[in-house]
Amino acid sequence: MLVLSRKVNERIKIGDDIELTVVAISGDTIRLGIEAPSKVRILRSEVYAEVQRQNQESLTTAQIPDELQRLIKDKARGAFQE
Amino acid sequence: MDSINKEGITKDSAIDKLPGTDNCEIYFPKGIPGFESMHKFFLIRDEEAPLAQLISAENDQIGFIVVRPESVVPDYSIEIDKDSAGVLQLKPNVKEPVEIWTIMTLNPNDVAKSTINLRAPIVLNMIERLGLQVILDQERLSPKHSLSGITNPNNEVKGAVD
Repeated sequence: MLVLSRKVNERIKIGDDIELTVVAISGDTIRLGIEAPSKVRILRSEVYAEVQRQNQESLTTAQIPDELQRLIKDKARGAFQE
Repeated sequence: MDSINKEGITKDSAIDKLPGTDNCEIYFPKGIPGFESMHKFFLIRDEEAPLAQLISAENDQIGFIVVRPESVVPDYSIEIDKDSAGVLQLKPNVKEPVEIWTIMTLNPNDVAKSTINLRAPIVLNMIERLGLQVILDQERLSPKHSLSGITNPNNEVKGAVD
């Protein structure tokens, strides 16, 4: 891992079209400005980790319970009536 | 080569045997978060049903129950970013048959307490048979939206007034 020190308002360029700016530092929080092409997905890392965790928790290969089928069908009927 | 073919045929025929279902194999170029090495999934469902199963074609111990989000949250809508649209080979201004599903976290003891992940829907391009779990970094979309409506008190109030 490359580790760089930067002061407020100093910038880091990554490749040709991504630039990071340290906008502000307050306590243990750093505000970063990110300029990147719109096709580059930018995501806080913990958001991805949270989805990984949620998916692992959701793992099931059991048949869909009948009770759940009924519940969703009732909900769907209610939803489309609104 | 032989063994791969053989395995493929066995799995396909097992899935085909399920009665009254409209199943298809979907390729997830990036896998599914938590299961990044799994790329091929079967979408197993009755036609038009709001519930389906997404089962790995590579490991039959890996699967999810998925729900059409509009059956739970009628006004659910998402915006797909350009990078995700690229993975799904969705072309701008072309209407592709896109399906949106959400992964359910089943509570087997009380199914009404099950939740769905509105923040990371599964988006499928049904022409190219491509899938991606799109992560929406939006606080208003809950990763644990309760089916019982407890996390959505506004709907409860509306129902009471009606």
